[in-house]
Amino acid sequence: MGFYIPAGFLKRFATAPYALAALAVAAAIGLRLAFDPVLGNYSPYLPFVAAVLLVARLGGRGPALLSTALSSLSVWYFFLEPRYSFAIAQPTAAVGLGLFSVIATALSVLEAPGGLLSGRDAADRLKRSYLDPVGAPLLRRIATLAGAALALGILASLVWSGFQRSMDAKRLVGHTYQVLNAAGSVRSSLETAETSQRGYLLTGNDQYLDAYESAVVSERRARTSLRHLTVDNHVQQARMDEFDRLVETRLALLASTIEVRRRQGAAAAADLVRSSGGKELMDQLRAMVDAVDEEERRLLESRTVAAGAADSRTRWILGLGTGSLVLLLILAGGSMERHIHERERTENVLGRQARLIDLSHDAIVTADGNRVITGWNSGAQEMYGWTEKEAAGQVMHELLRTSSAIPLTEMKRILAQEGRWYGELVHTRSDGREIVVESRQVLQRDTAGRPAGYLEINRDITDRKRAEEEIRQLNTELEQRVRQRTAELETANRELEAFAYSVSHDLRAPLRGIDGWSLALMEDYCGECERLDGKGRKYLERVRSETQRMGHLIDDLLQLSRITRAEMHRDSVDLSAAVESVAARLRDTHPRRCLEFAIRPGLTAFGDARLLEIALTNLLDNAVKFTGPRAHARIEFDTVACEGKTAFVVRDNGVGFDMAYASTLFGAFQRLHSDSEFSGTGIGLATVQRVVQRHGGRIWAEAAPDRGAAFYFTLGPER
Amino acid sequence: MNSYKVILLIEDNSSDVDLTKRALVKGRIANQVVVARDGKEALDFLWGEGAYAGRDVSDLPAVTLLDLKLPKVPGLEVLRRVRADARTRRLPVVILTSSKEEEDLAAGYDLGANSYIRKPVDFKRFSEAIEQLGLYWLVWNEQPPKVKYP
Repeated sequence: MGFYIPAGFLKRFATAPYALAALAVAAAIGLRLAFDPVLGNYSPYLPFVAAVLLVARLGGRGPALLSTALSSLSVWYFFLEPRYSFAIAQPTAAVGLGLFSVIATALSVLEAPGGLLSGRDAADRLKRSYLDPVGAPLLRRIATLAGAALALGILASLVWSGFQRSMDAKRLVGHTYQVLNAAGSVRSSLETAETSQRGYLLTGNDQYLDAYESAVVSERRARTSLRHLTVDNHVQQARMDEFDRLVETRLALLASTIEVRRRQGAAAAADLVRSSGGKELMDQLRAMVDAVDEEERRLLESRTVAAGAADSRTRWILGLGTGSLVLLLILAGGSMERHIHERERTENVLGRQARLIDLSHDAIVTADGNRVITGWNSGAQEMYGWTEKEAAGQVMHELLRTSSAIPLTEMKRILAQEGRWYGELVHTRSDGREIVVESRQVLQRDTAGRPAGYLEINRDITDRKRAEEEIRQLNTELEQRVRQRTAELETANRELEAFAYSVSHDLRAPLRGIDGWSLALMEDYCGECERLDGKGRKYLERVRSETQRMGHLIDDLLQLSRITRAEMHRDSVDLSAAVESVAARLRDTHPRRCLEFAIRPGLTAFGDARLLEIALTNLLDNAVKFTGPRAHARIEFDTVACEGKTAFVVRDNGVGFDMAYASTLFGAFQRLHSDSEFSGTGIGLATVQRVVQRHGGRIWAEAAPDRGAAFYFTLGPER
Repeated sequence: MNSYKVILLIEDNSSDVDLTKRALVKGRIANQVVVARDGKEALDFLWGEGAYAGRDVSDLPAVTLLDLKLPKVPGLEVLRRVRADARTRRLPVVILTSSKEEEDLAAGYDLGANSYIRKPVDFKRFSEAIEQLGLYWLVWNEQPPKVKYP
């Protein structure tokens, strides 16, 4: 069976970050060893904390944990007393190692990408949710503070230990001086004792004995002090034993010579002095004191050097510490400054906006990243009923019981994605009344991209909505009414058509009867039998002409009503051609008249061909009729420019009319001429006007009695 | 000549009936004039039903003068039924009416009227029209062949 390693496993444990972990720890060891002469056994952890942080940032959680383990082992082996072994001398060191392991493990987990403290990734993740990312910065701040405190503690302990060493070194130097002093004191006391002894030997004066006694006492004291002082130095102690013996011997010799002088006289004493070898003894003593002196001076020298080194190391630590402190302060100050600046910026922007528009009738509300209300202008108070004091600290949508036609989650999504949102919301006032608002919302982010605040501007559109609803209802009602009216009109139209049909059929039938029977009377009762004379025949003619006139009247009325009712079928119409064909027909019906038609060719209009032909027929009929008295009738069809439009004109050289009566010209049954002059029903021009009006045009006339007439008309907008 | 054939006059107005008859006489048209006072009577005559039961329906009138406004069955309906029936669909029908409405003209021709004449108020012109009409349909016009029955 093969040994199977999943690819994902290998991938997950990609080697590069782990190599980085090992490298970083090695570098930390090297760095710490390099600083060994300065730091000694103190602060072994500092470079390893840095290494773990670095690896966590760059390599992730796994390598960071590896570097933590390697660092703990390295510190243990290299830097804890006893060094270069895994033994532990002091329990405090073990505690320190444990503490370091815990802190480094925590840093590995928290600082790694994806961990709670890893800057932008975490911010992005939190930004997506609507929670304010309070947790991460707090942990981050605590970690930073703990780090700073640790650094400060280490620094303080370093400075303290430096001072201790300095003091120790100085104390040792002082001690050496004391030893030298004592040694000098011993030597001088001995010499004083010897001098006093000589003086007594020579003079026998007791005064010298007193000096001698006191010198011996002070020598003893000095020597005791010397022995005490050199108790830490076994070389000196050994020397002291020898010295003691020699001094006691010498003192005994001095005492014996003094005794001899007192009892046996100066000569015996001198003999004793000469024979006793006191001189050699004294020289030995001197040499010995010199040796002690020598030793102490050597010590003094080395100790002074040591004190100097301790001093310089303390200065180093102080310098480094001060530098680090300054750096730390600068960093902290910068961070605080940035933090304050950021907060001020946010507060300023939102606050200034809120202040500027506090007088607005719109509700302007600012809220923090959690939508907790921070600002509430007077417009909001007016609109919702709560004062700023009551509203502040409440969650916006909970206070206002926000609802909307669209899901609120959708609104939040748009706001988070685009930074702004616009739409209609329903809010509930403090008195429980619901209002519809037009809401504009803006999301402000801090520099890390987290929601820092919301600005919401709401306008009460309840009245507008109600008005819109009313308008909508009115429109519906209006449409309903229009439909009803249209139906009524259609019914009326149908009735009118039925009426017209009835008129054309039923009114004409009796007329035809009257005419028919009148003619029958004339045919059957006039002529040979003469039962009806010429006068009766004339009357019957009148009956018939009136009857026929009524027939025309009915026909014209029918045409007028038909023109009003007829559906329009608009198209391009060749008016010139239409006039030509009417003119041809008129020439045929008036073969004895001399009619000249001047028709401008190619005049077209957009309209209903049938209606326009009826209008033109009526106008030309009139022209022919009223040129009746002229031997040579001239009728023109042309266009003129009128008020930027094209007006068509039918002009004749007929009898014309007085413009004073022009206003009645186009009314139905209005006539300017008596029936005896010109026959007619008075409906022709009314029909023409109706046609022109249905085309959206206008008709008017210009005339003078006996000077002809001109009828102008336009046909509305060209298409 | 179709002197033996009848002229069917479908007209409810008695004045018009008499005047039409007078005009025919004046125009020297001697054919018998059968008058139907409403659409129902006209169809009874043509199809040999009701009062005219037993009439030889194959003997079609030389021409039928049809008014449009009629009691019971309106003129256009009479025309439609006449044309729908195999026995009478070849019958020459002239619409003779007061109406000049376009709708009536169109419907009349659509239903297969052979001619459409509007009665003028001027009786002189009406007489002329009847005279010419009689001349045309009774003298010049060739009658349709009789419908054969199996």
